[in-house]
Amino acid sequence: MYNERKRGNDVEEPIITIDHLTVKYAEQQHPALDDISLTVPAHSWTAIIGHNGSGKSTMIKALTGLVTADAGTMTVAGMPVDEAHIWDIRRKMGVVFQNPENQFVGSTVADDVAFGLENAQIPRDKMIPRVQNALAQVGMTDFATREPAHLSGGQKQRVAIAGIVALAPDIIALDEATSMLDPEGRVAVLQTIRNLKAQQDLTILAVTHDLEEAAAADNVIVIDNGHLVASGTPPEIFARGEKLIDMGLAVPFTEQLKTDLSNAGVPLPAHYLTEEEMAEQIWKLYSTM
Amino acid sequence: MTNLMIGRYLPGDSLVHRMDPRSKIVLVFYFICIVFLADNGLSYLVLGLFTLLAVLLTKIKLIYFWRGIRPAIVLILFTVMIQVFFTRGGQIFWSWGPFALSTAGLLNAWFIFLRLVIIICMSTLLTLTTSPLDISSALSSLMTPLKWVHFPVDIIALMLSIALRFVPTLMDETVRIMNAQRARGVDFGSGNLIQQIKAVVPILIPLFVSAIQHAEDLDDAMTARGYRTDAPRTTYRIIQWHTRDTLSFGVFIVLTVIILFVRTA
Amino acid sequence: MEIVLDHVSYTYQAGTPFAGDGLRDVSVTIPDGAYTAIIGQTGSGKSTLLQHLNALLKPTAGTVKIGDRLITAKTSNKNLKPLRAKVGLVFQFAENQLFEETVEKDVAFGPKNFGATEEQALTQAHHALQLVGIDEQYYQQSPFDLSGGQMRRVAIAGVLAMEPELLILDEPTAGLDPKGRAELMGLFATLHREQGIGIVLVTHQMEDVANFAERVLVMAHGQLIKQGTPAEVFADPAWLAAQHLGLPRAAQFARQLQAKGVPLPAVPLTEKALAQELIQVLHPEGGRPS
Repeated sequence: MYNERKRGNDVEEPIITIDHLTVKYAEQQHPALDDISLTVPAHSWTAIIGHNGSGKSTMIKALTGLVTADAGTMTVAGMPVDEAHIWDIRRKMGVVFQNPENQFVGSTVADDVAFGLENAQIPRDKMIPRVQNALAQVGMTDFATREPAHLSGGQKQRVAIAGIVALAPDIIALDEATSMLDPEGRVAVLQTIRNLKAQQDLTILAVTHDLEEAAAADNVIVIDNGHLVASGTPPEIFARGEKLIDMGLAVPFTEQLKTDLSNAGVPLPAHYLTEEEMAEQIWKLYSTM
Repeated sequence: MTNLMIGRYLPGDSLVHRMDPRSKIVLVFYFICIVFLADNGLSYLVLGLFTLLAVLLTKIKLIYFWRGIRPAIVLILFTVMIQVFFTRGGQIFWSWGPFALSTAGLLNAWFIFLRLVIIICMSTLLTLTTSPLDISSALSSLMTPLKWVHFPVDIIALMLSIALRFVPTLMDETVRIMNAQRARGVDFGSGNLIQQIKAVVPILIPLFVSAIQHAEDLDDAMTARGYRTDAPRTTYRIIQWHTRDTLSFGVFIVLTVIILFVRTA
Repeated sequence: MEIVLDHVSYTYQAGTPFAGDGLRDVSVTIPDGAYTAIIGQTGSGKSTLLQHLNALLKPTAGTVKIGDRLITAKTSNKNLKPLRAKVGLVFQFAENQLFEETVEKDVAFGPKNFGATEEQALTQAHHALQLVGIDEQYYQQSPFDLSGGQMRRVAIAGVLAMEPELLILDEPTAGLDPKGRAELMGLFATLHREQGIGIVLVTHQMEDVANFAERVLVMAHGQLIKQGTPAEVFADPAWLAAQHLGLPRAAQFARQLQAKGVPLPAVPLTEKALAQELIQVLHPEGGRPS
């Protein structure tokens, strides 16, 4: 758990806590999540990684009350996840789901952004500037009157983000939000999230199996068959190399390269290197040769 | 499918396009009622001219209205024929058993023909100048009084708008699934009736599964975004009533007075 | 089986979901048994091109020669079945085409449509299911009870069971996790290598292009704007960027190293090639382990 590991002076209060959470779907033999405990520091970017069907998406559904916990407790933004608080929690934590098509409720872009505001009973005159503002923040202002059929997947996801931002949440959860997008859409969505996080000091909880996406996170949690199998910073997780494949993931590019070079006798440090650090190491080796 | 003009919207910026969809719906229904008041040549002439004027005001090419009438042409001709041969009155030119050809029959048939063409033109005008989205918003707005009898107007309105929003998605999916099954050797539109019905199963089941998937995901997304049926909501989309709408109602009252004045009975 | 497109244009009817995503004057030969990758932005016409390869679409202008069948705008829709049996097409999110009560019935659906007997179709289905790694215990289950990744495999098996000579894959690994992706790409490579099946792969993954393809076609705005070996296509990063396309990871990293001043003789396209080059560079005596 992160709060056990001191990270200098910038240790943040957890904004999400999960304590011995177990979720079991009725039609399945094994629990989707089995006795999971973790915390997510406020203002962090936390990635939850794992293969398809590992249970990682169930965690977001449990936090937003879309599935009920069989055991354990959770808190979000200081509130316990229960019947009495769930609607307030949903305003504090917005979710961008995987399929861009299946979360677009409104008939046009602006209508869709307004959907959450309508549910929150915001008066119409206050809604209009908030919709405009939210669209501007995701760079979709010019598309306000478009119908969803005329948008790309990446654009639809940005509209979904605008719908969340309009409600001024503390947390944005991404439930494999980029997995159905083409590379351009993926980059645009992640850039939008990065900008928003920086501007509004949000907490990002990103469920993904994309290691590049996880590499940019502050913390990484690995879920495998409903169990929390590892947690730590990206370097700590990625240094596991081949073991990641057993978890249904892949070996990060730099780690694979390091393994191949080390096997050939090129002296490289044992810990995980980012691309930048790797290039620097190779340059050093080359220039001191 | 593509030449069926009913329900096809042509975006534009004419006076008719800019009218409140609610007034368009109400006035078109009202107009259809007035058409049944007409009973002589002069009243049909007034209605015909009025329709022509309305059509011209939309700035939409006449060919689109013709495409609206074309699918109904068989129905129109059938109705006209019945009028021609089953109405007796005035001078009778020819008769055989129950059939007859008379001046009254011909006149009646001509009026029925005009009536149908006028009605189809006006309904086509409504759908050509009003987007499905506007029609659904307008219907929801017109249903508002039903709230008094605890009819779930808001839920029906949301259902209607979501249904409309998913039409292109499901059409897109139908094409994809059909293509995928054709690639697996299904022949659509060949073989006998039973073979053709069997060929539909590999499309319908995936489409059904996919529609359920859409619905389940959408349910999650809507709940996560704070939608609850047991709480009031505010509304973002409103329809604007303009002076031109008030004026249109005035024009229709004048039209009604004229028709009442020139009709025979 | 060779496919030759000669000045092929295709226009979608306005108002259809794909309007604007047509083809303009595409001429290209897909050689027998080759592994060809097609890259290009979303909406560049890749999917439209694919559907011409098994005559799901007929060119509005120009001709498509599939083996010895010539397809033109006037070709009748009848008798295209033998051709579709030879050219297997796996659509994007192929799991959406499943419909039968059991996994084996669904996979046998294609072969049966192409005239196989019940018994023959099941044999072919079982073989295909083995290839994609679906265990026998699932054969009698409903395909809808499987996980997303398994459903994708069953759908792919449904096309493999037709025993096609050419396999066309439209982003077959989209949405799968890295392991599932690697396994499927491995399967296609094996089919190509060991059974000589031709592969046409539409993908956004430049690593897959670098690792597997022999030839690359680059599409933009319905036109074929470049074709060549992966090395040729990836040789001009600035041009690729202008087409909104990227480089494989290894090539990107190699350029980063070159910018720093590490001399690399050629731009490597795969991680293994990059490692080899770096070993050469860092061990001038010949790459022997020190």
